[in-house]
Amino acid sequence: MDTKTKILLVEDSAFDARIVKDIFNEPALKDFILFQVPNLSEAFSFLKQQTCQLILLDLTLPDGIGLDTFLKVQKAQPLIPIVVLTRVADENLALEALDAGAQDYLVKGAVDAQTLKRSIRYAIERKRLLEQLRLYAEKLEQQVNQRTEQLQQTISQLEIEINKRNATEQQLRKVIEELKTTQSQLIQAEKMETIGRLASGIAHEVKNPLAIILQATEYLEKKIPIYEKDITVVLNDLKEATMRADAIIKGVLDFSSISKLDNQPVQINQPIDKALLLLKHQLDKFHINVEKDIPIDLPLTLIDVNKMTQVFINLFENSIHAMPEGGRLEIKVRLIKAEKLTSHLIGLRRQDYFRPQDEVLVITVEDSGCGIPEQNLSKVFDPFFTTKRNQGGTGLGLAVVNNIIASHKGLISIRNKPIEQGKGVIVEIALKVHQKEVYDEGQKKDSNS
Amino acid sequence: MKGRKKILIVDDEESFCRLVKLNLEQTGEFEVRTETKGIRALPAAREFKPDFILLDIVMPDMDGGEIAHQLSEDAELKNIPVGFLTALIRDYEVTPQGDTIAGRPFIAKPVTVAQLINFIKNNMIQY
Repeated sequence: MDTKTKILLVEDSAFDARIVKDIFNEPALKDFILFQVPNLSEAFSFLKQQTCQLILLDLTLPDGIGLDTFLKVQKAQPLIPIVVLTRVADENLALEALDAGAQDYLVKGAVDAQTLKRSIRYAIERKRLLEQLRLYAEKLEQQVNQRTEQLQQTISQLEIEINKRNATEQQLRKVIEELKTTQSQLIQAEKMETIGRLASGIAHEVKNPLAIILQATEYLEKKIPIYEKDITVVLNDLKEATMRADAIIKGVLDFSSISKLDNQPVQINQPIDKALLLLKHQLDKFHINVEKDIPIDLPLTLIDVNKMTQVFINLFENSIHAMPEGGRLEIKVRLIKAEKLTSHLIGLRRQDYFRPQDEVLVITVEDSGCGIPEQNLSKVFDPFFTTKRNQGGTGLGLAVVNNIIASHKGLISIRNKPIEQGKGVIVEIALKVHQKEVYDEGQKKDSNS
Repeated sequence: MKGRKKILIVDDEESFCRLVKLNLEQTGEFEVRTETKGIRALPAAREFKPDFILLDIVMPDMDGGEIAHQLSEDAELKNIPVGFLTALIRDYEVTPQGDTIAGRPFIAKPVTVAQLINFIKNNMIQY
Protein backbone atom coordinates (compact mmCIF):
# COMPACT_ATOMS: atom_id res chain seq x y z
CA MET A 1 0.00 0.00 0.00
CA ASP A 2 2.87 2.29 0.86
CA THR A 3 4.33 2.05 -2.59
CA LYS A 4 1.26 3.79 -4.01
CA THR A 5 1.60 7.41 -5.02
CA LYS A 6 -0.47 9.62 -2.75
CA ILE A 7 -2.50 12.37 -4.39
CA LEU A 8 -4.36 15.04 -2.45
CA LEU A 9 -7.41 16.47 -4.16
CA VAL A 10 -8.54 19.87 -2.88
CA GLU A 11 -12.07 20.28 -4.20
CA ASP A 12 -15.17 21.74 -2.55
CA SER A 13 -17.68 20.56 -5.13
CA ALA A 14 -18.83 17.09 -4.21
CA PHE A 15 -19.89 16.56 -7.79
CA ASP A 16 -16.56 17.42 -9.28
CA ALA A 17 -14.79 15.40 -6.60
CA ARG A 18 -16.91 12.42 -7.44
CA ILE A 19 -15.90 12.57 -11.08
CA VAL A 20 -12.21 12.65 -10.16
CA LYS A 21 -12.58 9.80 -7.70
CA ASP A 22 -14.29 7.71 -10.37
CA ILE A 23 -11.41 8.20 -12.70
CA PHE A 24 -8.93 7.10 -10.00
CA ASN A 25 -10.93 3.92 -9.57
CA GLU A 26 -10.12 2.91 -13.10
CA PRO A 27 -7.42 0.21 -13.41
CA ALA A 28 -5.02 2.58 -15.25
CA LEU A 29 -4.65 4.56 -12.04
CA LYS A 30 -4.35 1.62 -9.65
CA ASP A 31 -0.92 2.77 -8.49
CA PHE A 32 -2.36 6.01 -7.13
CA ILE A 33 -4.26 6.55 -3.95
CA LEU A 34 -6.47 9.64 -3.69
CA PHE A 35 -7.31 11.72 -0.63
CA GLN A 36 -9.81 14.53 -0.80
CA VAL A 37 -10.35 17.66 1.31
CA PRO A 38 -12.94 20.40 0.63
CA ASN A 39 -10.93 23.54 1.43
CA LEU A 40 -7.45 25.01 1.99
CA SER A 41 -7.41 24.92 5.77
CA GLU A 42 -8.22 21.19 5.74
CA ALA A 43 -5.61 20.69 3.05
CA PHE A 44 -2.98 22.33 5.26
CA SER A 45 -3.94 20.29 8.34
CA PHE A 46 -3.90 17.10 6.19
CA LEU A 47 -0.38 17.95 5.03
CA LYS A 48 0.73 18.49 8.59
CA GLN A 49 -0.24 14.87 9.38
CA GLN A 50 1.13 13.21 6.30
CA THR A 51 2.71 13.96 3.01
CA CYS A 52 1.65 13.41 -0.56
CA GLN A 53 3.38 13.29 -3.88
CA LEU A 54 1.05 15.63 -5.74
CA ILE A 55 -1.77 18.07 -5.13
CA LEU A 56 -4.73 18.41 -7.47
CA LEU A 57 -5.96 21.88 -6.72
CA ASP A 58 -9.28 23.47 -7.60
CA LEU A 59 -8.79 27.21 -7.80
CA THR A 60 -12.29 28.13 -6.59
CA LEU A 61 -12.58 27.19 -2.92
CA PRO A 62 -14.48 28.65 0.02
CA ASP A 63 -11.24 29.93 1.59
CA GLY A 64 -9.30 30.68 -1.56
CA ILE A 65 -10.10 32.33 -4.85
CA GLY A 66 -8.30 32.29 -8.15
CA LEU A 67 -4.50 32.44 -8.50
CA ASP A 68 -4.19 33.39 -4.84
CA THR A 69 -5.32 29.86 -3.92
CA PHE A 70 -2.44 28.38 -5.87
CA LEU A 71 0.13 30.79 -4.48
CA LYS A 72 -0.84 30.02 -0.87
CA VAL A 73 -0.47 26.26 -1.38
CA GLN A 74 2.78 26.61 -3.28
CA LYS A 75 4.21 28.83 -0.59
CA ALA A 76 3.24 26.34 2.14
CA GLN A 77 4.46 23.28 0.22
CA PRO A 78 7.13 24.36 -2.24
CA LEU A 79 8.38 20.80 -2.79
CA ILE A 80 5.05 19.18 -3.78
CA PRO A 81 4.08 19.48 -7.43
CA ILE A 82 0.70 21.06 -8.00
CA VAL A 83 -1.68 20.39 -10.92
CA VAL A 84 -4.49 22.93 -11.23
CA LEU A 85 -8.10 21.94 -11.99
CA THR A 86 -10.17 24.46 -13.93
CA ARG A 87 -13.38 24.91 -15.77
CA VAL A 88 -13.34 25.54 -19.51
CA ALA A 89 -14.06 29.26 -18.90
CA ASP A 90 -11.06 29.62 -16.58
CA GLU A 91 -8.32 28.65 -18.99
CA ASN A 92 -6.58 32.09 -18.69
CA LEU A 93 -6.39 31.68 -14.95
CA ALA A 94 -4.86 28.24 -15.47
CA LEU A 95 -2.17 29.72 -17.73
CA GLU A 96 -1.31 32.29 -15.04
CA ALA A 97 -0.93 29.45 -12.55
CA LEU A 98 1.47 27.69 -14.95
CA ASP A 99 3.49 30.90 -15.14
CA ALA A 100 3.60 31.07 -11.37
CA GLY A 101 4.93 27.51 -11.10
CA ALA A 102 2.07 25.00 -11.42
CA GLN A 103 3.14 21.82 -13.20
CA ASP A 104 0.08 21.42 -15.37
CA TYR A 105 -3.62 22.20 -15.59
CA LEU A 106 -6.53 19.92 -16.27
CA VAL A 107 -9.91 21.08 -17.55
CA LYS A 108 -12.71 19.51 -15.54
CA GLY A 109 -14.85 17.12 -17.57
CA ALA A 110 -12.20 16.74 -20.28
CA VAL A 111 -10.01 14.36 -18.38
CA ASP A 112 -9.68 10.62 -18.82
CA ALA A 113 -7.63 8.13 -16.91
CA GLN A 114 -4.75 8.08 -19.37
CA THR A 115 -4.43 11.88 -19.56
CA LEU A 116 -4.56 12.15 -15.82
CA LYS A 117 -2.01 9.43 -15.29
CA ARG A 118 0.41 11.00 -17.78
CA SER A 119 -0.12 14.49 -16.37
CA ILE A 120 0.53 13.30 -12.82
CA ARG A 121 3.66 11.34 -13.78
CA TYR A 122 5.06 14.24 -15.78
CA ALA A 123 4.25 16.73 -13.05
CA ILE A 124 6.01 14.68 -10.38
CA GLU A 125 9.01 14.05 -12.60
CA ARG A 126 9.22 17.68 -13.74
CA LYS A 127 9.00 18.94 -10.18
CA ARG A 128 11.72 16.49 -9.14
CA LEU A 129 13.99 17.70 -11.94
CA LEU A 130 13.22 21.32 -11.19
CA GLU A 131 14.03 20.74 -7.54
CA GLN A 132 17.25 19.02 -8.50
CA LEU A 133 18.06 21.90 -10.83
CA ARG A 134 17.34 24.36 -8.06
CA LEU A 135 19.67 22.44 -5.71
CA TYR A 136 22.36 22.36 -8.36
CA ALA A 137 21.94 26.08 -8.95
CA GLU A 138 22.15 26.70 -5.22
CA LYS A 139 25.24 24.57 -4.92
CA LEU A 140 26.77 26.28 -7.93
CA GLU A 141 26.05 29.66 -6.47
CA GLN A 142 27.63 28.54 -3.22
CA GLN A 143 30.69 27.36 -5.09
CA VAL A 144 30.88 30.57 -7.07
CA ASN A 145 30.64 32.56 -3.84
CA GLN A 146 33.34 30.42 -2.27
CA ARG A 147 35.58 30.83 -5.28
CA THR A 148 34.96 34.56 -5.37
CA GLU A 149 35.93 34.79 -1.73
CA GLN A 150 39.06 32.73 -2.32
CA LEU A 151 39.93 34.90 -5.29
CA GLN A 152 39.47 38.02 -3.25
CA GLN A 153 41.74 36.57 -0.55
CA THR A 154 44.33 35.71 -3.17
CA ILE A 155 44.06 39.21 -4.61
CA SER A 156 44.61 40.86 -1.25
CA GLN A 157 47.53 38.49 -0.56
CA LEU A 158 48.96 39.45 -3.93
CA GLU A 159 48.50 43.10 -3.08
CA ILE A 160 50.41 42.59 0.17
CA GLU A 161 53.09 40.70 -1.75
CA ILE A 162 53.31 43.49 -4.35
CA ASN A 163 53.65 46.09 -1.60
CA LYS A 164 56.39 44.02 0.03
CA ARG A 165 58.22 43.71 -3.25
CA ASN A 166 57.92 47.42 -3.89
CA ALA A 167 59.40 48.10 -0.47
CA THR A 168 62.23 45.63 -1.12
CA GLU A 169 62.84 47.19 -4.50
CA GLN A 170 63.05 50.62 -2.91
CA GLN A 171 65.47 49.31 -0.30
CA LEU A 172 67.53 47.71 -3.04
CA ARG A 173 67.58 50.97 -4.93
CA LYS A 174 68.80 52.74 -1.83
CA VAL A 175 71.51 50.13 -1.29
CA ILE A 176 72.57 50.48 -4.92
CA GLU A 177 72.71 54.26 -4.50
CA GLU A 178 74.83 53.84 -1.39
CA LEU A 179 77.10 51.40 -3.19
CA LYS A 180 77.50 53.85 -6.04
CA THR A 181 78.37 56.59 -3.58
CA THR A 182 80.88 54.35 -1.83
CA GLN A 183 82.36 53.34 -5.15
CA SER A 184 82.79 56.93 -6.28
CA GLN A 185 84.22 57.79 -2.88
CA LEU A 186 86.73 54.95 -3.27
CA ILE A 187 87.63 56.08 -6.77
CA GLN A 188 87.91 59.64 -5.46
CA ALA A 189 90.14 58.49 -2.57
CA GLU A 190 92.37 56.56 -4.95
CA LYS A 191 92.60 59.54 -7.28
CA MET A 192 93.45 61.77 -4.36
CA GLU A 193 96.19 59.43 -3.26
CA THR A 194 97.73 59.39 -6.73
CA ILE A 195 97.45 63.15 -6.96
CA GLY A 196 98.92 63.38 -3.47
CA ARG A 197 102.00 61.35 -4.36
CA LEU A 198 102.41 63.27 -7.60
CA ALA A 199 101.85 66.60 -5.86
CA SER A 200 104.36 66.06 -3.07
CA GLY A 201 106.96 65.00 -5.64
CA ILE A 202 106.29 68.04 -7.78
CA ALA A 203 106.07 70.32 -4.75
CA HIS A 204 109.56 69.39 -3.61
CA GLU A 205 111.02 69.89 -7.06
CA VAL A 206 109.23 73.19 -7.63
CA LYS A 207 109.86 74.66 -4.19
CA ASN A 208 113.64 74.51 -4.66
CA PRO A 209 113.64 76.73 -7.75
CA LEU A 210 111.07 78.98 -6.05
CA ALA A 211 113.46 79.35 -3.12
CA ILE A 212 116.18 80.41 -5.55
CA ILE A 213 113.91 82.91 -7.33
CA LEU A 214 112.90 84.41 -3.99
CA GLN A 215 116.47 84.73 -2.79
CA ALA A 216 117.55 86.20 -6.13
CA THR A 217 114.75 88.73 -6.13
CA GLU A 218 115.59 89.84 -2.61
CA TYR A 219 119.25 90.12 -3.57
CA LEU A 220 118.44 92.32 -6.56
CA GLU A 221 116.11 94.49 -4.42
CA LYS A 222 119.07 95.42 -2.30
CA LYS A 223 121.31 96.09 -5.29
CA ILE A 224 118.97 98.28 -7.38
CA PRO A 225 118.98 101.98 -6.46
CA ILE A 226 115.64 103.10 -5.09
CA TYR A 227 115.09 105.67 -7.90
CA GLU A 228 114.95 102.87 -10.52
CA LYS A 229 111.16 102.79 -10.08
CA ASP A 230 110.34 100.42 -12.97
CA ILE A 231 112.86 97.85 -11.83
CA THR A 232 111.61 98.03 -8.25
CA VAL A 233 108.05 97.40 -9.46
CA VAL A 234 109.16 94.49 -11.62
CA LEU A 235 111.04 92.92 -8.72
CA ASN A 236 108.04 93.30 -6.48
CA ASP A 237 105.85 91.59 -9.10
CA LEU A 238 108.42 88.81 -9.32
CA LYS A 239 108.38 88.32 -5.56
CA GLU A 240 104.58 88.29 -5.35
CA ALA A 241 104.31 85.83 -8.22
CA THR A 242 106.77 83.54 -6.44
CA MET A 243 104.76 83.67 -3.21
CA ARG A 244 101.59 82.96 -5.17
CA ALA A 245 103.13 79.93 -6.85
CA ASP A 246 104.20 78.71 -3.41
CA ALA A 247 100.69 79.22 -2.04
CA ILE A 248 99.17 77.23 -4.88
CA ILE A 249 101.61 74.36 -4.45
CA LYS A 250 100.89 74.35 -0.74
CA GLY A 251 97.15 74.33 -1.44
CA VAL A 252 97.34 71.39 -3.83
CA LEU A 253 99.58 69.55 -1.39
CA ASP A 254 97.17 70.20 1.48
CA PHE A 255 94.21 69.18 -0.60
CA SER A 256 95.72 65.94 -1.75
CA SER A 257 97.55 64.71 1.32
CA ILE A 258 94.83 64.08 3.86
CA SER A 259 94.45 60.35 3.37
CA LYS A 260 96.33 59.27 6.47
CA LEU A 261 95.73 60.88 9.83
CA ASP A 262 98.07 60.85 12.80
CA ASN A 263 95.38 60.96 15.48
CA GLN A 264 96.13 61.77 19.12
CA PRO A 265 93.80 62.55 22.01
CA VAL A 266 94.31 66.27 22.69
CA GLN A 267 92.57 69.36 24.00
CA ILE A 268 90.82 71.17 21.19
CA ASN A 269 92.51 74.47 22.12
CA GLN A 270 95.88 73.02 21.04
CA PRO A 271 95.40 73.37 17.25
CA ILE A 272 93.41 76.59 17.76
CA ASP A 273 96.22 78.22 19.74
CA LYS A 274 98.84 76.97 17.30
CA ALA A 275 96.93 78.49 14.38
CA LEU A 276 96.47 81.80 16.23
CA LEU A 277 100.17 81.93 17.04
CA LEU A 278 101.14 81.35 13.40
CA LEU A 279 98.77 84.09 12.27
CA LYS A 280 99.59 86.52 15.08
CA HIS A 281 101.44 88.87 12.75
CA GLN A 282 98.50 89.14 10.32
CA LEU A 283 95.93 89.46 13.10
CA ASP A 284 97.88 92.33 14.63
CA LYS A 285 98.52 93.97 11.27
CA PHE A 286 94.81 94.14 10.43
CA HIS A 287 93.75 95.09 13.99
CA ILE A 288 91.65 92.03 14.59
CA ASN A 289 90.50 91.32 18.13
CA VAL A 290 90.51 87.64 18.99
CA GLU A 291 88.00 86.54 21.62
CA LYS A 292 88.33 82.97 22.84
CA ASP A 293 85.67 81.23 24.90
CA ILE A 294 86.97 77.72 25.51
CA PRO A 295 86.03 76.05 28.84
CA ILE A 296 89.02 74.29 30.43
CA ASP A 297 87.13 71.17 31.54
CA LEU A 298 86.22 69.97 28.03
CA PRO A 299 86.84 66.31 27.16
CA LEU A 300 89.67 65.43 24.77
CA THR A 301 89.13 64.85 21.09
CA LEU A 302 90.97 62.41 18.83
CA ILE A 303 92.52 64.47 16.03
CA ASP A 304 95.55 64.96 13.83
CA VAL A 305 96.85 68.16 15.40
CA ASN A 306 98.76 69.33 12.30
CA LYS A 307 95.79 68.81 10.01
CA MET A 308 93.39 70.40 12.46
CA THR A 309 95.79 73.34 12.83
CA GLN A 310 95.59 73.72 9.09
CA VAL A 311 91.80 73.78 9.33
CA PHE A 312 91.91 76.69 11.77
CA ILE A 313 94.62 78.52 9.81
CA ASN A 314 92.51 78.35 6.68
CA LEU A 315 89.36 79.50 8.52
CA PHE A 316 91.13 82.32 10.36
CA GLU A 317 92.87 83.45 7.16
CA ASN A 318 89.50 83.66 5.42
CA SER A 319 88.21 85.77 8.29
CA ILE A 320 91.28 88.02 8.17
CA HIS A 321 90.78 88.53 4.41
CA ALA A 322 87.15 89.44 5.07
CA MET A 323 88.14 92.14 7.62
CA PRO A 324 90.82 94.35 5.97
CA GLU A 325 89.65 97.27 8.12
CA GLY A 326 89.87 95.29 11.34
CA GLY A 327 87.15 93.49 13.30
CA ARG A 328 86.39 90.70 15.72
CA LEU A 329 87.20 87.00 15.56
CA GLU A 330 85.29 84.92 18.11
CA ILE A 331 86.19 81.31 18.80
CA LYS A 332 83.82 79.37 21.02
CA VAL A 333 83.77 75.69 22.02
CA ARG A 334 80.81 73.92 23.60
CA LEU A 335 79.80 70.37 24.50
CA ILE A 336 76.42 69.71 22.88
CA LYS A 337 74.07 66.74 22.27
CA ALA A 338 74.29 65.71 18.60
CA GLU A 339 70.49 65.77 18.21
CA LYS A 340 70.59 69.58 18.62
CA LEU A 341 72.59 69.89 15.38
CA THR A 342 71.15 69.59 11.91
CA SER A 343 72.88 67.19 9.58
CA HIS A 344 71.95 64.20 7.48
CA LEU A 345 74.82 62.35 9.15
CA ILE A 346 73.27 62.24 12.61
CA GLY A 347 71.15 59.14 13.20
CA LEU A 348 71.26 55.43 13.91
CA ARG A 349 72.40 54.19 10.49
CA ARG A 350 75.82 52.61 10.10
CA GLN A 351 77.07 55.42 7.88
CA ASP A 352 76.05 58.15 10.34
CA TYR A 353 78.87 60.00 12.09
CA PHE A 354 76.95 60.71 15.29
CA ARG A 355 74.17 59.05 17.30
CA PRO A 356 71.52 61.56 18.39
CA GLN A 357 72.48 61.04 22.06
CA ASP A 358 76.24 61.53 21.51
CA GLU A 359 77.98 64.44 23.19
CA VAL A 360 79.77 66.44 20.54
CA LEU A 361 82.43 69.15 20.67
CA VAL A 362 81.12 72.10 18.69
CA ILE A 363 83.64 74.77 17.68
CA THR A 364 82.18 78.03 16.41
CA VAL A 365 84.35 80.53 14.51
CA GLU A 366 82.61 83.85 13.99
CA ASP A 367 83.94 87.00 12.31
CA SER A 368 82.64 90.51 11.71
CA GLY A 369 83.72 90.56 8.08
CA CYS A 370 81.88 91.19 4.84
CA GLY A 371 80.02 87.86 4.84
CA ILE A 372 79.49 85.53 1.87
CA PRO A 373 76.99 86.34 -0.91
CA GLU A 374 74.06 83.91 -0.47
CA GLN A 375 74.45 82.54 -4.00
CA ASN A 376 78.04 81.47 -3.18
CA LEU A 377 77.28 79.70 0.12
CA SER A 378 76.64 76.35 -1.55
CA LYS A 379 79.89 76.52 -3.53
CA VAL A 380 82.43 77.52 -0.89
CA PHE A 381 83.51 73.93 -0.24
CA ASP A 382 84.02 73.16 -3.94
CA PRO A 383 87.68 72.73 -4.90
CA PHE A 384 89.01 75.66 -6.95
CA PHE A 385 86.00 77.88 -6.22
CA THR A 386 87.39 81.33 -5.35
CA THR A 387 86.38 84.97 -5.67
CA LYS A 388 90.00 86.02 -5.09
CA ARG A 389 91.78 84.33 -8.00
CA ASN A 390 93.55 87.61 -8.95
CA GLN A 391 94.76 88.05 -5.37
CA GLY A 392 96.43 84.67 -5.26
CA GLY A 393 93.45 82.64 -4.00
CA THR A 394 93.65 78.97 -4.95
CA GLY A 395 90.07 78.04 -4.11
CA LEU A 396 91.39 75.16 -2.08
CA GLY A 397 91.25 76.59 1.45
CA LEU A 398 87.73 75.52 2.42
CA ALA A 399 87.91 72.39 0.25
CA VAL A 400 90.89 71.31 2.34
CA VAL A 401 89.04 72.22 5.55
CA ASN A 402 86.04 70.21 4.43
CA ASN A 403 88.19 67.18 3.53
CA ILE A 404 90.05 67.24 6.81
CA ILE A 405 86.85 67.55 8.87
CA ALA A 406 85.23 64.74 6.87
CA SER A 407 88.28 62.50 7.33
CA HIS A 408 87.85 63.01 11.10
CA LYS A 409 84.19 62.02 10.67
CA GLY A 410 83.24 65.48 11.85
CA LEU A 411 80.68 67.93 10.53
CA ILE A 412 81.15 71.44 9.19
CA SER A 413 78.65 74.09 8.19
CA ILE A 414 79.06 77.68 7.09
CA ARG A 415 76.47 80.45 7.13
CA ASN A 416 76.08 84.21 7.35
CA LYS A 417 75.17 85.79 10.68
CA PRO A 418 71.49 86.59 11.15
CA ILE A 419 70.90 90.16 9.89
CA GLU A 420 70.17 91.57 13.36
CA GLN A 421 73.69 90.58 14.52
CA GLY A 422 75.40 92.57 11.74
CA LYS A 423 77.57 91.21 8.96
CA GLY A 424 79.93 88.26 9.23
CA VAL A 425 80.28 84.53 8.79
CA ILE A 426 79.71 81.72 11.28
CA VAL A 427 81.53 78.44 10.77
CA GLU A 428 80.46 75.52 12.94
CA ILE A 429 82.55 72.37 13.33
CA ALA A 430 81.39 69.29 15.25
CA LEU A 431 83.97 66.74 16.39
CA LYS A 432 83.74 63.44 18.22
CA VAL A 433 84.59 63.35 21.89
CA HIS A 434 87.48 60.97 22.58
CA GLN A 435 86.22 57.80 24.29
CA LYS A 436 88.99 56.92 26.72
CA GLU A 437 87.96 53.29 27.25
CA VAL A 438 87.95 52.51 23.55
CA TYR A 439 91.35 54.11 23.13
CA ASP A 440 92.88 52.20 26.05
CA GLU A 441 91.52 48.95 24.73
CA GLY A 442 93.09 49.71 21.36
CA GLN A 443 96.40 50.37 23.11
CA LYS A 444 96.20 47.08 24.97
CA LYS A 445 95.50 45.16 21.78
CA ASP A 446 98.47 46.83 20.13
CA SER A 447 100.85 45.90 22.94
CA ASN A 448 99.61 42.30 22.94
CA SER A 449 100.18 41.76 19.27
CA MET B 1 135.10 91.56 10.70
CA LYS B 2 134.96 90.49 14.31
CA GLY B 3 131.49 89.83 15.75
CA ARG B 4 130.10 88.46 12.45
CA LYS B 5 128.46 85.09 12.99
CA LYS B 6 129.77 82.23 10.89
CA ILE B 7 127.12 80.24 9.05
CA LEU B 8 127.75 76.99 7.16
CA ILE B 9 125.12 76.14 4.54
CA VAL B 10 124.99 72.65 3.01
CA ASP B 11 122.60 72.43 0.05
CA ASP B 12 122.97 70.67 -3.30
CA GLU B 13 121.38 73.64 -5.13
CA GLU B 14 124.42 75.65 -6.09
CA SER B 15 122.60 78.82 -7.06
CA PHE B 16 120.57 78.74 -3.85
CA CYS B 17 123.80 78.55 -1.83
CA ARG B 18 125.31 81.43 -3.77
CA LEU B 19 122.25 83.66 -3.31
CA VAL B 20 121.78 82.93 0.40
CA LYS B 21 125.47 83.69 0.93
CA LEU B 22 125.13 87.00 -0.93
CA ASN B 23 121.95 87.96 0.96
CA LEU B 24 123.22 87.08 4.41
CA GLU B 25 126.65 88.67 3.98
CA GLN B 26 125.01 91.81 2.55
CA THR B 27 123.53 92.45 6.01
CA GLY B 28 127.03 92.72 7.49
CA GLU B 29 126.01 90.38 10.33
CA PHE B 30 127.14 87.08 8.87
CA GLU B 31 130.05 85.32 7.25
CA VAL B 32 128.82 82.41 5.13
CA ARG B 33 130.49 79.33 3.74
CA THR B 34 128.57 77.00 1.42
CA GLU B 35 128.98 73.35 0.47
CA THR B 36 127.00 71.57 -2.26
CA LYS B 37 128.14 68.05 -1.32
CA GLY B 38 126.83 66.44 1.86
CA ILE B 39 130.04 64.55 2.30
CA ARG B 40 131.94 67.85 2.56
CA ALA B 41 129.85 69.04 5.53
CA LEU B 42 131.95 67.64 8.39
CA PRO B 43 135.41 68.59 7.01
CA ALA B 44 134.11 72.09 6.24
CA ALA B 45 132.68 72.43 9.75
CA ARG B 46 135.99 71.39 11.33
CA GLU B 47 137.83 73.91 9.21
CA PHE B 48 135.36 76.82 9.31
CA LYS B 49 134.13 76.43 12.93
CA PRO B 50 130.67 77.86 12.23
CA ASP B 51 128.25 79.29 14.85
CA PHE B 52 125.33 77.68 13.02
CA ILE B 53 124.91 74.98 10.39
CA LEU B 54 121.96 75.07 7.96
CA LEU B 55 121.30 71.70 6.27
CA ASP B 56 119.16 70.76 3.31
CA ILE B 57 117.51 67.38 3.87
CA VAL B 58 117.23 65.77 0.44
CA MET B 59 120.65 65.66 -1.23
CA PRO B 60 122.01 63.13 -3.75
CA ASP B 61 125.11 61.90 -1.91
CA MET B 62 124.19 62.13 1.78
CA ASP B 63 120.98 63.30 3.36
CA GLY B 64 120.81 66.12 5.88
CA GLY B 65 119.52 63.88 8.66
CA GLU B 66 122.59 61.67 8.36
CA ILE B 67 124.90 64.69 8.45
CA ALA B 68 123.15 65.97 11.60
CA HIS B 69 123.58 62.56 13.20
CA GLN B 70 127.32 62.45 12.40
CA LEU B 71 127.72 65.97 13.75
CA SER B 72 126.05 64.98 17.02
CA GLU B 73 128.51 62.10 17.44
CA ASP B 74 131.58 64.21 16.76
CA ALA B 75 133.18 65.42 20.01
CA GLU B 76 134.49 68.58 18.40
CA LEU B 77 131.34 69.49 16.46
CA LYS B 78 128.45 68.23 18.57
CA ASN B 79 127.80 71.57 20.25
CA ILE B 80 127.32 73.55 17.04
CA PRO B 81 123.58 74.26 16.61
CA VAL B 82 122.04 72.77 13.47
CA GLY B 83 118.84 73.67 11.59
CA PHE B 84 117.16 72.14 8.57
CA LEU B 85 116.04 74.10 5.56
CA THR B 86 113.82 71.96 3.37
CA ALA B 87 111.14 71.92 0.68
CA LEU B 88 109.74 68.75 2.23
CA ILE B 89 107.55 70.40 4.82
CA ARG B 90 104.97 73.14 5.02
CA ASP B 91 105.20 76.11 7.32
CA TYR B 92 102.11 75.29 9.43
CA GLU B 93 103.90 72.13 10.46
CA VAL B 94 106.40 74.29 12.26
CA THR B 95 105.80 76.67 15.14
CA PRO B 96 107.97 79.79 15.40
CA GLN B 97 109.66 78.17 18.40
CA GLY B 98 110.42 75.39 16.00
CA ASP B 99 109.08 71.89 15.90
CA THR B 100 111.91 69.54 15.28
CA ILE B 101 113.10 66.81 12.97
CA ALA B 102 115.30 64.41 14.96
CA GLY B 103 115.62 67.01 17.68
CA ARG B 104 116.58 69.81 15.28
CA PRO B 105 114.58 72.89 14.28
CA PHE B 106 113.54 73.30 10.67
CA ILE B 107 112.20 75.91 8.28
CA ALA B 108 110.32 75.46 5.00
CA LYS B 109 111.50 76.50 1.54
CA PRO B 110 110.92 78.95 -0.05
CA VAL B 111 111.99 81.36 2.64
CA THR B 112 112.51 85.13 2.69
CA VAL B 113 115.79 86.61 3.87
CA ALA B 114 114.05 88.06 6.92
CA GLN B 115 112.53 84.70 7.88
CA LEU B 116 115.87 82.97 7.48
CA ILE B 117 117.74 85.49 9.64
CA ASN B 118 115.03 85.23 12.26
CA PHE B 119 115.31 81.43 12.22
CA ILE B 120 119.10 81.49 12.54
CA LYS B 121 119.06 83.98 15.39
CA ASN B 122 116.37 82.09 17.27
CA ASN B 123 118.30 78.85 17.14
CA MET B 124 121.87 80.01 17.58
CA ILE B 125 123.47 79.60 20.96
CA GLN B 126 123.37 82.96 22.71
CA TYR B 127 126.77 83.98 23.96
